[in-house]
Amino acid sequence: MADLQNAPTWKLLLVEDDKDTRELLLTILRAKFPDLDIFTAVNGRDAVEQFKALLPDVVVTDVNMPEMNGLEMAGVVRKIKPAVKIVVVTADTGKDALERAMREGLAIDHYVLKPVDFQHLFHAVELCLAELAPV
Amino acid sequence: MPKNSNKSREQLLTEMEELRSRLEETEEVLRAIQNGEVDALVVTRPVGEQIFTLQGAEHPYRVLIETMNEGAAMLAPDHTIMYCNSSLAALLQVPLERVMGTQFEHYFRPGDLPLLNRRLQCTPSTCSGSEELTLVNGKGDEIPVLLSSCTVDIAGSPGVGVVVTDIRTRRHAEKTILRLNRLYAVLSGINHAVLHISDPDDIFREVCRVAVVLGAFRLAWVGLLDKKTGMVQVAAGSGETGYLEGIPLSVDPVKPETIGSLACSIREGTYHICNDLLDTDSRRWRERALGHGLYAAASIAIKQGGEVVGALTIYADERNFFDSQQVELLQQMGSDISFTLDNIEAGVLRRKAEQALQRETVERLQAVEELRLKEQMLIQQSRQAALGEMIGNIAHQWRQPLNNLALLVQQPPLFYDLGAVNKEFLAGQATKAMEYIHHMSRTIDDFRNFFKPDKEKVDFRVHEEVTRTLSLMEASLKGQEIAIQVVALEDPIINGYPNEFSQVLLNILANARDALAERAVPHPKVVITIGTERDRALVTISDNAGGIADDVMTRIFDPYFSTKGAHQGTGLGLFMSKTIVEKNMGGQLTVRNLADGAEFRIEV
Repeated sequence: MADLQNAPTWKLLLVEDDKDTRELLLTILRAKFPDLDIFTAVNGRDAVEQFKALLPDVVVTDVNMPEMNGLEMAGVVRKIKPAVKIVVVTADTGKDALERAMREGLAIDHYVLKPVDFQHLFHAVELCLAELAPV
Repeated sequence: MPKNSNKSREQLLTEMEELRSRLEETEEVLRAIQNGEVDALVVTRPVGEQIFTLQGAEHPYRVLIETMNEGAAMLAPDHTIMYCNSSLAALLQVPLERVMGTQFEHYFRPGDLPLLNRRLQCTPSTCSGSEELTLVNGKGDEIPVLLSSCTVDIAGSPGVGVVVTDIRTRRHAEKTILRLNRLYAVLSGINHAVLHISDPDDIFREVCRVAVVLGAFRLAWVGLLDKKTGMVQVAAGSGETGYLEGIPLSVDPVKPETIGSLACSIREGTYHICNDLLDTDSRRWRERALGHGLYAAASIAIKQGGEVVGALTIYADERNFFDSQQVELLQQMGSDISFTLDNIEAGVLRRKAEQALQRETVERLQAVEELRLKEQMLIQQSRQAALGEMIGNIAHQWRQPLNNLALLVQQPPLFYDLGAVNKEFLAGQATKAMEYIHHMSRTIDDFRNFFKPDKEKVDFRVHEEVTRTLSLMEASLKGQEIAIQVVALEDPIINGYPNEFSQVLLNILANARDALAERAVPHPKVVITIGTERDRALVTISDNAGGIADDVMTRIFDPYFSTKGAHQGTGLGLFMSKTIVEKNMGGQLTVRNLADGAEFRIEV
C-alpha cells in the first residue's frame, strides 16, 4: 500500500442521480478517505462538465442516470484524461451491459455491485489510489 | 185242340188275318232296320218300356271318331290293329292303311310294354283311368301319350278299344312351368340375399349359390369387368366352376377366349342367351361344355350407376332351357342385383359422408378445444409476462432504497471506529432506514393491488389510473432515462376494471420503453394525453421511437407476434391489451404512426 501521507491530494468525483444515495456515499467516502477531495455530480452530463473543470483522478459513478448515463460519461472523461481511474457502481442486472461496454473498448478500472458493500467499494478506491500513487 | 175246336170258322179267319197283319208289320220293321232307317226300338214290356239301339246307329260314332284329335283304334284280342282313326295314323307318322293289321305294341318304347300289356288286358271293371306311355312313331320320335282302353265285342269276339292322346303340349307346358319355378326360386333367393347382405362380393357369392342350389343350374358365376383391359375377373362362382378355370375371359369379340353370352350381355348392357353351347365352331369350348354337363347359358348384365360392371351367367344341363318367358325373370334378376349394388354404393357414399361429417365434427370439437386450451395458455402466458414485467418493475423500484439501506446499515461500524457514533447518529440512521422500509412496503402494496383481480366494474378516474401505473413503472422508465409527460386535457371517468385498464397502459408503456431502448433514441420521450372525444374517454400514448414498420403494423395485435425476440417478448401484451379494451370494456384500441413515433389510442 502506498504511503498516503506523502501522496498528493487526489480528487474524486462521485456521480449519482439519487440524492439519498449520493449523500450516503459521500458521507462514507469522506469518513473513510478524509484526505481525498470529493466532489459530486447529479448525472452524466453534470459529471462531464465538472470533470472538465476539476480533472479528478478517480471517478465513482452510477450507471442508470438521466441526461447521460454513467458508461457514456466514462467514455467521454476517459478521452479527456486517459489516466483517470474509473469505478462503476452497478446492479447485478447491469453487469452484462457493463461487460459489453468494456468489450467494446470502454476502459473501466473497477466495478462494484449494488447493494454496495463498503469493503468492496473501499477496496476498489484504494486500488485506484495505489495505482495513482508514485512508487 | 179241345179249346179251339169250340171257335167258329169266322173267328179263326179273323185271328189268321190279325196274325198276317202283325207279320207284315214285323217284316216292315226288319226291312227298315236293315235299311238303317231305325236308330232304336222302344219295346213295351211288363216292367216298362226298354230302348234297344240297333247296329245301324254306329254311323254318327264313326264320324265322331274319325274327326276327333285323339288317336283311336280297335284291337283284336291279339292286339292287332283292326281299325284306327286318321289322328292315330298321323301321330304314328304311318299311312292309315299300313297301320291296320300291325301290332299295337310295335309303336311303344320297349320299356313301356309291360305297362301297355297290363292296360290292354284290363276288364271292364279294371279299365277305368289311363296310362302315360311313350310312343315311338314311324320317324323314331318319342312322343308322350296318354292311353285309355276298354274291352269291346267284335263280331262275338272280345276286342280292345284304345284312345291315344298326344300330351306333348302338356308336357312342354309342365316343363316350362318347372323351369320358370326354378328361375323364380333363384329370383326369390337373390331377393332374399340382397335384402340381408350388404357386401357386394357376399351378394355375388349368394346369388351363385342359390342359382345352383335352389335353381338346380349346373354353374353360376359373376364376372366383373376391368374397363381398362376389357378382361373379366371371376368375382364369385358356384357349381361347375372348373369350366372357368384357366380361361382369360374377355369381352372383346375378336379374342378367342370370349364367352359369347357373357361378352354380348356386358357389351350391350342387357341379357344374352345361348341355348346350345355345343353348337360352336370351337372344339375346345364344346369339349369343355360337355365335360361339365353344360348345354345352355344365359348371361345377364349387372350395372352400377347405370354402367355395366359385369354379368351373372347361369348354365343349364339341357339344351333350349331358356325361352322368351324366362327373359323377364332374367332381366328382373339383373335389375335386382344392379339395384342392390346401387343401394350399397349409395350406402357406402352415405356412410362415407356420415363418417366425414363425424370426422369433421370431431375435428371441429378438437379445434374448439385446442382454441380453448390455447386461449387458456395465452392468458397464462400473458399473466406470466405481466408478472415478469411487474417483478422487473419491483426490482427497479426496490434497487435504490435497498442499496441505500445497505449503505445505512454499514455506517455504524465504520463511524464507530471513527468515534462518531452517538445516540443522535443512531436515531438518524434508524429514521432513515424506516423511511426506506416504508417506501419499499408501499411499493409492495401498490403492486399487490395491481395484481388483485377486479371483482366488479367500478367508476374510476382515468388520470388517477395513469398516475398509479406510471408510479409502478417509474424506476424502470427512469432507468432508461425516458422523459414522461402527462397532458390531462380532461379527467374522464370510466366504468370498468381499473387494474385491467392499468395493465393495458403498462403494456403500451413497456413497449414504448423497450422500443426507445432498443433504438437508443436520444432524448427518449413518452407523452400521455387524457381527454374525451365523441363522449368517450380517450387516452393516447405516443413515443418518439420512430414508429412501427408497415409489415409489423398489420400484425401488432396478433397473439404471439413480437419483434423483441424470443427471450424478451411473449407477443401477448398488445393482444391481451386489445382483448381487454375491446372485449371487456367495449372500447377500441388502435395504433398509428405519427411524425417521430407510434401513437396508441385507447377509446372507452
